[in-house]
Amino acid sequence: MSVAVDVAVIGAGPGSLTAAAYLASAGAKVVVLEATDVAGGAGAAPVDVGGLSVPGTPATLHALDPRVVMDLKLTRRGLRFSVRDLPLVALRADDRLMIDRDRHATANSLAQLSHRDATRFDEFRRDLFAAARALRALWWEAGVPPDASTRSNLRRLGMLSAEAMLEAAFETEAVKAACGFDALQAGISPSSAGSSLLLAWRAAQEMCGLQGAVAIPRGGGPTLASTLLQAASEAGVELRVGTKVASIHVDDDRVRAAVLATGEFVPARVILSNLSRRATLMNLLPPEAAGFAMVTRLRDERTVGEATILMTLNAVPDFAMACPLARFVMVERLDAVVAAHTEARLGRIPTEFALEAVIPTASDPGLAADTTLLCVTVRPLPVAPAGGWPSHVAELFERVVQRLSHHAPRLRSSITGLNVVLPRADQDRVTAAHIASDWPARLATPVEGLFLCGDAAEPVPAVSCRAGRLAAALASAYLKWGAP
Amino acid sequence: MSTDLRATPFHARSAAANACNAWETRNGFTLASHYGDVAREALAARFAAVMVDLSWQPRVILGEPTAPQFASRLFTRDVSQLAPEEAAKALWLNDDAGVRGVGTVVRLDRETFVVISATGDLPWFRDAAVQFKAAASEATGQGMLALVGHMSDRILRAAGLDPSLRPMTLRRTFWRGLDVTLSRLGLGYELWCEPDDGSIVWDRLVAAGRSFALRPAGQLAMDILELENGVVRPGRDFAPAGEAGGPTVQDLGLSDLVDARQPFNGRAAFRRAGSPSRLVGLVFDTDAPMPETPLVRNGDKVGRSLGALHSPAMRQPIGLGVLDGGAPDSELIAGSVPCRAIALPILPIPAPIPPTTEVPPPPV
Repeated sequence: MSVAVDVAVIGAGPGSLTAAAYLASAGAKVVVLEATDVAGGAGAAPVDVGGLSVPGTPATLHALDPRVVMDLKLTRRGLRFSVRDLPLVALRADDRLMIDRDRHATANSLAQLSHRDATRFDEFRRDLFAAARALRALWWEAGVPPDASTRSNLRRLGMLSAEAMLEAAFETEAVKAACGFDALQAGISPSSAGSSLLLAWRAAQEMCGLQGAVAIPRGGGPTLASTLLQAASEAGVELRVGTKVASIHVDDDRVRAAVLATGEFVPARVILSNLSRRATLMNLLPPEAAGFAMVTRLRDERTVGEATILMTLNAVPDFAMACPLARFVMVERLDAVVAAHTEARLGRIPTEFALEAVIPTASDPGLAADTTLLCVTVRPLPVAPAGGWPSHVAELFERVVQRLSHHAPRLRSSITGLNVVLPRADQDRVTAAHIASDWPARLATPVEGLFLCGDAAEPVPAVSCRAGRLAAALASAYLKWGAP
Repeated sequence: MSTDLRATPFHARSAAANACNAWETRNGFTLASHYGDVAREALAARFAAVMVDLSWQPRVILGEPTAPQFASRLFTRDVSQLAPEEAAKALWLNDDAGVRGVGTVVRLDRETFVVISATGDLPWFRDAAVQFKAAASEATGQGMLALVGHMSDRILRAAGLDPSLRPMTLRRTFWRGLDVTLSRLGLGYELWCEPDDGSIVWDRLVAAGRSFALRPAGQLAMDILELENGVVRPGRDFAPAGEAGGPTVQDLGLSDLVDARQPFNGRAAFRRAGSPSRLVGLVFDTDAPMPETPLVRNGDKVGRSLGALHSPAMRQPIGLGVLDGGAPDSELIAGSVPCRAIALPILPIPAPIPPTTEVPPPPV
């Protein structure tokens, strides 16, 4: 048996490192137990692309909690952004739109297709941003209960699909499709009730002081992981890599210890889990501890996800020649993506998927020396296609390259390396009810002293670290006063 | 779910006896509501004996080697401690400690339990069983005939069955060519038989009970007897909980059926749910109020009523209620109806008369 700690944290992802750093700074004795040999989460390990080692995904950040950046002094520790706010360039067969923070530039671009949409877009964004700001009270602002109008707004959005929201707002397919890409997250169909909350959640985020911005961290994903690790270790967190937790010992309805695969007990008053709710409650707890109804609900697996294809190129793609610093979104029609979602849910690679391409090396050439790194996010895709992913990877590459080639004819010949980060199978199924839930409900579990601090505790899975900060607050309160 | 009406193994005999053609449906089974006079049937249990068809009651079999572990987590009492052929009354709760069901859990053998209750809840058992690698399956359809009344011992003896059974136990036996099970799980005895043997079992009991004034009784008479004896039945006395929320153990005054020392589903929420209330009987001066009517004492709400019926034996409406605190034997107002709270059972069925009373030898 190990020495007892105040808090044992399962997994060393961004959320759990954040929680550990906060708790250790507050004086708690914290140990982080990471099953793999690399701490920092999926983005911390480099990826091999054509023999070149490039930083792991994600290439961009859109939801990082500014309070975490400030409290843990991440900027001082080296977290810098090479681009603070990427504009969105929508590429379609016949048109190209740019949606920028500059409202005049955006209006001018949209006016090529529709004057009504050009006028309407600014109003739409303003309304969405205002509604989204109010919903922060629900999603993460501790101590600020959402007011009546926010609750009513939440109910409205909880019933509204992203497709219906965009259909009502705009007349041109190009604008709907461009705005709709951000609603293709978390495996929810843009036509399902409540999917408009995804757009609101995205709009509620603040990156680099700008609401709804998308930023590129200098040095890529590993920079965030290394700064968090530094913060955690300076605060006194003990990190144990290569340490797999096999179960959580529960006695009298409260956690007592993390039990390692080696059989070792790590006694702890609080356990934070960076794993999915499903993995935490179904795999680590005794069957009855999580509650029968809860476990039955968790048996519904997530079926739709997204993949990221990393390409190294010896030339900048044609579509990015004029303006390489942008998110290039390729969605022909929003209704086609809705159909694609259905195909993905049935385990098929969709006929027509949506792409988002970003070139991190355009702003940070040091990421991949003398080469262009292209990160392409593909949505929606089946988490477990029929026959398994190995038999579909070549087909996926071919179809993505084909699609990109419409806007960059010389792309195929410029590819020097390819790799793919497949849809994650370890994530929980996200529902509109989950996104609309209060933050304490998302972090809490049925077992006293056990909280979630990773993607599972976020309204929408993303690199945010916010769940870690909030889990630390809950854990501190529990250590001090016990269960409420 | 099938909406077809099903016949119990005793239906043919029940139909022949049901001259007034009064039927009702429970759990999809067609059953006699009464055989002409509800009051007489309810009173007959006090002066002679009645037999009631309970085959409609849902029965769920829990099996596989992990069934004891599963059952001990499923129910609010550790039924894995039961010996084979023993039974216990228990509740099962949802995650929020809402009462999904009340029933009798019988241990048939080392790895098999049967749950008998008024609400089946098979999907809940089945989903939960997966987590323990156990199995839950429906066993409803077997014949179950209750024999209630103080002549029941004598009737069984006359029929050639040994009635010497402790309460909450059962015995499997071979009865003149039939495999039957005799149990004491409810108000009297229950005779379980194979579906095909229903008519034979009925006829044998009728023949044996003829000299003891045995008569068939319908479901309404059984409801009255249960209420007089303080038996709470989900669906009649309260609406059972679903996936979440619902009435808690404390709301129903059923804390006696909970052993919080052992872990079970919903225990954490049960512990948070507050102080226990008390299940009491209510005797109303005039008409019985609707269920969930507040019970008021000196202007303060002190509880609420559950199900209520007219008791022929007491010649007034009776019911069940839950008191938040305080002792029974007090005057209350339920809605606008004056009533009195009394300890349960309200009016127990007289104990069975033993078949033979041995006279002890005179002292020397």
